[in-house]
Amino acid sequence: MMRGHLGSEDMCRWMAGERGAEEERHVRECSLCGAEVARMEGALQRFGGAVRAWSAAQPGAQSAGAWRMDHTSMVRPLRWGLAAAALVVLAVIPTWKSARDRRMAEEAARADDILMEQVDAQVSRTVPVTLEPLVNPVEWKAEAGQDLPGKEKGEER
Amino acid sequence: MAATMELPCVGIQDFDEVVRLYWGRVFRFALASLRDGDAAQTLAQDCFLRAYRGRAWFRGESSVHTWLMRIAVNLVRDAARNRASRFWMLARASSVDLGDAGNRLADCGVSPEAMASLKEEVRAVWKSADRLPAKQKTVFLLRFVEDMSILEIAAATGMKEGTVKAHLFRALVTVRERLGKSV
Repeated sequence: MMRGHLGSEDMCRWMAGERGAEEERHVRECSLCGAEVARMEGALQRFGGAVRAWSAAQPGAQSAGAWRMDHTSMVRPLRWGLAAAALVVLAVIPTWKSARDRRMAEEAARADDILMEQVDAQVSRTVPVTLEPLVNPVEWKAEAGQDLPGKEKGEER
Repeated sequence: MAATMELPCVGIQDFDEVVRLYWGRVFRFALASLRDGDAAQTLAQDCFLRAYRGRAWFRGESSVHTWLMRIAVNLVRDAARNRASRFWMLARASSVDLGDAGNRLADCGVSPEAMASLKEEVRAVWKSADRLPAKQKTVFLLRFVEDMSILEIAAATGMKEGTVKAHLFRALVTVRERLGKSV
């Protein structure tokens, strides 16, 4: 049984669709509550109308252009992506290959140079390595840290 | 409150027609929910793409509109849950002006002062709706922007009828409180 006017929560319950027969009758008969319900309904209607009008004016509100009807077009970007990736791979392979060849050629040249230097060193010797100490015994002694007896004495004096 | 909008009966076979008829509604719901034009367009695109791929499973137990809105509601929920997208929604330049909706009021022959008051009222509803919890906001927008009935909202959100009413009631209490007793 309803007593008095609709409160704020009753009003919201009414707007949310919870309407008993008693409330229906009261709103119909009570000008105050009827006006309050109408005011609230009006505000929400204006809100809905304004949002609908505003949304319709936004870019993207029309399906034309926004939606691609041809579903194959959804696959197209993927295909383009794969094609681009393949092209990149094809373009990179020769560059990578030539860089690798160049690096290998440089390493081979460096190894050749080292080998040639070693060969030159061997070829430029006047005597075999084992006979080198006999060629200049004095130098050899000096190099070996052996002092000359005559010289030592002379210096001591 | 106006009666639920009459929607033309359309089958799912002619998908181009489905897109033509419902794109605007899906986009509008996404835009009102996310408040971002680019995100709304992407969401609408995604919604129709999912519908297109899943059209074989559409049994016609609900209307095409309700079916599409159900997909849109799920996408909006996912987008809102995504922290990154929330950050972008706050930061992006495409974010829509909250006050702009108030300028779209139809001129109903009232005085400039009264029109300014009505615009302010619309802006206030728009702002308070944005601050509602996700479920209340969804139900509120479906009811008062999309003009869907409680049963349609229940079908679109997967909630029970009573739950929809409870969310709507709480949303209305909040909006009414924020508007002041003048509404």
